[in-house]
Amino acid sequence: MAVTVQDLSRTGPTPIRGEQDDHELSSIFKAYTVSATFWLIFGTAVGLLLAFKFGAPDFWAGKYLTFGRLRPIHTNDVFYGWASIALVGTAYYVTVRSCGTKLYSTALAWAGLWLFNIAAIAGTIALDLGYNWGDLEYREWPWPIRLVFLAALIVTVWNILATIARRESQDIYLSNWYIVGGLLWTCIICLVAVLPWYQYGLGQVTISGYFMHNAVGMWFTPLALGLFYYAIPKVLNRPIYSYALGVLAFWTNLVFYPMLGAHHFLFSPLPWWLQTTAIICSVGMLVPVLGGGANYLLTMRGRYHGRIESYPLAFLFVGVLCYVFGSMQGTVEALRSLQAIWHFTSFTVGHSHFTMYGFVTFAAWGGIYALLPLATGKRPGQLGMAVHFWLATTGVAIYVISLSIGGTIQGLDWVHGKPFIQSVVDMEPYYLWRGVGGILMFLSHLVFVWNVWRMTAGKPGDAPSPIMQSEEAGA
Amino acid sequence: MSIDAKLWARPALAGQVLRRRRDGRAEIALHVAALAQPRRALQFEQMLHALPGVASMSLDRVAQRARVVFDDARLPLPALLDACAGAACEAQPLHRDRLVDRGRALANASLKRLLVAGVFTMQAMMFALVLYLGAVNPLDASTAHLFRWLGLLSAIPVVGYAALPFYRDALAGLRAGRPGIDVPVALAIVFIFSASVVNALRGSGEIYFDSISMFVFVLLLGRHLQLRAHVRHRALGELAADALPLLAQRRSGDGGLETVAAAELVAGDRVRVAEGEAVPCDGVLESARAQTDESLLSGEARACVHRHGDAISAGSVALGGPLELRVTREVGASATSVLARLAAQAHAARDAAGDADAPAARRFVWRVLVLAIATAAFWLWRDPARAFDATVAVLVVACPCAFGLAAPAVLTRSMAVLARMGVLVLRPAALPAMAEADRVLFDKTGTLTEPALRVDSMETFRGTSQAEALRLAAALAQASRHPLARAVAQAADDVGIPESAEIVVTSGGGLQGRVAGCELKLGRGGFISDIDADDDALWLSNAEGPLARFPVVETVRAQAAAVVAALRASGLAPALVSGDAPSRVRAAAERLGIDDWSARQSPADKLARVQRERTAGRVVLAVGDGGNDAAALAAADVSAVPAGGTDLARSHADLALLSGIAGLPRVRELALRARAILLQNRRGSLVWNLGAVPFAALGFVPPWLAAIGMSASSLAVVLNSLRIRAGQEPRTPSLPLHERTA
Amino acid sequence: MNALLILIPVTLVLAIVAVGIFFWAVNHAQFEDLDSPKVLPLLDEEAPHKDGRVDAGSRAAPASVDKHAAS
Repeated sequence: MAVTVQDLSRTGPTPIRGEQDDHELSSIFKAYTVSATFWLIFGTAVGLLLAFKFGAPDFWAGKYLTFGRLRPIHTNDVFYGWASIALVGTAYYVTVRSCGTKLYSTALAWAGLWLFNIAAIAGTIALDLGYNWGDLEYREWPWPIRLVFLAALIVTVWNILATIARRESQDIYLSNWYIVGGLLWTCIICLVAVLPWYQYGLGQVTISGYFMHNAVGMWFTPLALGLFYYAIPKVLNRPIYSYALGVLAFWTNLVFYPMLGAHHFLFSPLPWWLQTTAIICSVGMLVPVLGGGANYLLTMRGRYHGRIESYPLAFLFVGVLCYVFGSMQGTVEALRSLQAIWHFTSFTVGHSHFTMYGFVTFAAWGGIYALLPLATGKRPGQLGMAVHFWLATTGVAIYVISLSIGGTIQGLDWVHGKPFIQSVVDMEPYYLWRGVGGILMFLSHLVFVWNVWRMTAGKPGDAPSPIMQSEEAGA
Repeated sequence: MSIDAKLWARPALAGQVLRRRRDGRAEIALHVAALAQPRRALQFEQMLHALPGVASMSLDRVAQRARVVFDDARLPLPALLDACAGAACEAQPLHRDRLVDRGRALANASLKRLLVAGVFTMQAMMFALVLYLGAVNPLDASTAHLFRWLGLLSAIPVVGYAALPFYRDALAGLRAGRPGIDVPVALAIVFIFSASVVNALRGSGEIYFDSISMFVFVLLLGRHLQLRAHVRHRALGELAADALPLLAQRRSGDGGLETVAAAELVAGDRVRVAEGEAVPCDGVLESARAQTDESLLSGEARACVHRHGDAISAGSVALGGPLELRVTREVGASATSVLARLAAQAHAARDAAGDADAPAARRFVWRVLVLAIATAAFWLWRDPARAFDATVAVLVVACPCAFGLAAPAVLTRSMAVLARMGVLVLRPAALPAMAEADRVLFDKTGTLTEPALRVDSMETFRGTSQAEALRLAAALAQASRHPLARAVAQAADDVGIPESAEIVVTSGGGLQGRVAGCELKLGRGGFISDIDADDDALWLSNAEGPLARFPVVETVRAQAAAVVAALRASGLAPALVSGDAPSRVRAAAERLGIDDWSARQSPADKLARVQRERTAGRVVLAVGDGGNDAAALAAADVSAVPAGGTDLARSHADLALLSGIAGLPRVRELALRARAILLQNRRGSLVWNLGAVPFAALGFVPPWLAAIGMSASSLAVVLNSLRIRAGQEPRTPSLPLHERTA
Repeated sequence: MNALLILIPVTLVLAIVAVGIFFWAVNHAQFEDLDSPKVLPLLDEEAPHKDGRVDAGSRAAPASVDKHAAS
């Protein structure tokens, strides 16, 4: 059968996209991945250091290495450096390929990469020098630096929209809807976040809730979901279970998500009604989350054999599971009775790693392992991917479990009005375990560097093609 | 490039099939038989995707139809067709009328309104929620005021844009003097919105922006789903290619053949029709003898023999070899077109009868208006300050939300269940009519009976064994597409069929060729010279004389008698109306247990019969499959066409029975059940609407309770409709509906 | 609280923009066929690499899609 189909597709003339275009796309994808990998190593090294400062606060306690300076460096670097750059790199590949065309402008893609990196470097230096904007989470960078990031976004969205405009098919594949939706929305919230008005007192809290949660939910989530919609079918060699369900989930997102940011500020002086609407929207989010998750898992149906056939798929699978359970955890956390216990404890740190690491980072890895070999023609080693996968999975599991248990104990201590130091003492073993998980995660990143090296510049490894041979039983 | 494909480069031909789009691209509908197989469909799709210049396409696998949008400057039509042929997916361009898809345009408009209603209802509900919670955590006056205004702002797109179809349909209904359910819906929207605006402006009193938006959204959702189901069913129903060919082979002055557009033919042209192709327009036979399949017109799957000078109708299929004819009437005036026009007129006459909802809706409006006026009068007498709010509250609880949803919910659910049973509903109004019907008119041939080859009672001569005769006959029969030839080939399926060579399909109904070194003939008596030509049977002979005779009889379809009995049991009086000879009709009627039969009925007679029955006050179900049934099918209150019915019949039927007439009793059963559920839904929602009125009139129903009541009653209607299920009959092959449903 | 004076208009404007994009999508037939676009990721033909090599796995793609759909 294969032969016939191949012959058929050969009857068409050669596509206008040439070898040179493929080469350029491959270089861009490579450069984004390499650059993101650097920020992953840097950001998580800082994170590892921070984890141990919980147990040994005086360790490396120089002025530039205090907890207060390093923490925002860790969060901002993995946020703006690693996850953003990695997902934009895959987004370029996904858009160009699913549109069956060539990239609108290589120059713009390179300019975007430079801007992303300049912002991340400048932000890191500013924070370490103590120029913390003092805003809430993910807005610690001084605003001019955040404008550079905004410029990078605008360049990217321009390039991607222009690429989609020259697509070969009438239908815009679902991935591109998610990618463009995420990019456009993030441009808007970045703009709202730098507006100078009302950035004090309660207004600041409200806008930060709006910005910070939307930045997670409307930036990383759509980009990662767009990647899922391309990479999972590609790896499995079968189309997505239900395209219509994906379309429905995309548009439902828009109805619910914009209002839910305020759920981070329950019991705050924010108006009670605003908190309540945020809770209701958080519950409403279950609709697109479960719809999307079911869609991915049903696409993978028949491939759960208790053994890993493909590591790219394994990464994507863990990503999907963490997406579903992380989002549900988020909904549960938004309920007042539970948030009374968990908020401001380490439980939330566990949740953010569950989603940002288990979901977003695993999705990015799955995407890179699935697509980068197709772009460069070089594959990583099977063993390298296996070691990376198991170290990272074990690490994040230890990390999230220990902080979830610890955070609950911590919260109960607080609720029962015990002395604060009691909660610190109770947390000690869990901080230790969190450090262990962190070490495993960091080690896995070193293996990832090796794998990226083999997929780009080094000698290719022995892994099979990321595209699985479909088996009769599974099909 | 093949010659056939090249022809499509001619502007006259291309103009008939291509539609120019606003973006400069061309759009074409193709009939691709290969689409019936999912695997081939995918290959076809991939092949098209790989072609440069193809912008988009949509496939309808069941209708075997592809709609392709392409840039014909980059990819000329012949190249497109050639590429299809190269991929073993021969594509036949369809007339561009097939591209006009009103259902699609309606579905798009409805989708837009639905989304606007959804997004802004969500906003309105959010703002209303703030106000409701204000009862628990008091808001300061200015915030409350802000949120009342925000509610107003969010409701404007819903009331001003999304709800437009309700106003339009209500006005249309009023103008035509037949107000339907849209009238109370439109009145409720306008009244409640205006009252809420007044309250928002004067800063006191209740506002209902959330309820009214939700009301519009829920009704739009119900109608959108119904429309989608409808569009889907109809798309599935549009099976098979055009009845009339677009191309014709005209003999030019010098005797050569040229291919022209069928529409270009004028009276007097000489046209050649190859075997297996349809005759493009009415004409007179020029060949000495010809055999045609006129099932398109008569529904009778019997080969008709014509002699020189006989009239042949457009749409007949040439069998057993090519034929030549002289055109007597142009394409537009041909018999098939005339039949189609007759049917279209009958359709229009019936559909003018109106909306079944109308009486119920009218009663509803009157009741609500009386209640509202009574409330207003009561409070004007007791306490004029409360009159306005109390009247608005009455209107809100009397909002016909569940009532308006009752019919769409039942219809959508029934259509989904029917699709699973292999029944397509081509006209939604057919279901209520199916429940009301008390008369069923059957066509005979093709519907209740089918021609069959009696292999078991075959006779053999001169010592030939039965198996041997069958093998020899099958070797010849393989070469022809004639229904009887196919039956012979099928009967010999498991017997080793010998090689055959030099087969000639002779005009006039016969096959001739060399099988196992021996010259053989297969055909009707007339073809094998020395046998009586009036015999229906097939003969096999060699040079010395006949070898075997295969009798051909008309048999009653397997479940036909059971279907007739079941329908009679459920209150439908059966009658048989056929165009066939009286002897055959009587025989079939006796076997089926039908007393009321009539024979030799022309299409006009059939139509007249239906109209007579309807005038007598009966509700008529017509079942038929031929083009000659089309007018009767169109005129009946409800009509059904079994699988294999002609295009013409199908395009005028309300129900397509993909698994044959066996499904008919179950359709009736389901229609009765749907009617019962619909009545329950209506009564239930009326009880809610009218029962809550006294409380509302006394001011006991705050806006949030009204909103909850509205959603709860709508949900109850939807859940109740889910009780419509298929009966416990044996499963029939299901349609691939689920694959494409969003 | 006055921050709401920004956030609420922003949300409303965004809702209008989203509706505009949705209308564009409806007009450009993005919802007409919710079935076939799903094969788009599997269709892109892998162009040969610089050294003329071709990724074997991606070559096999269309055939196996085919099997899947047939099942």
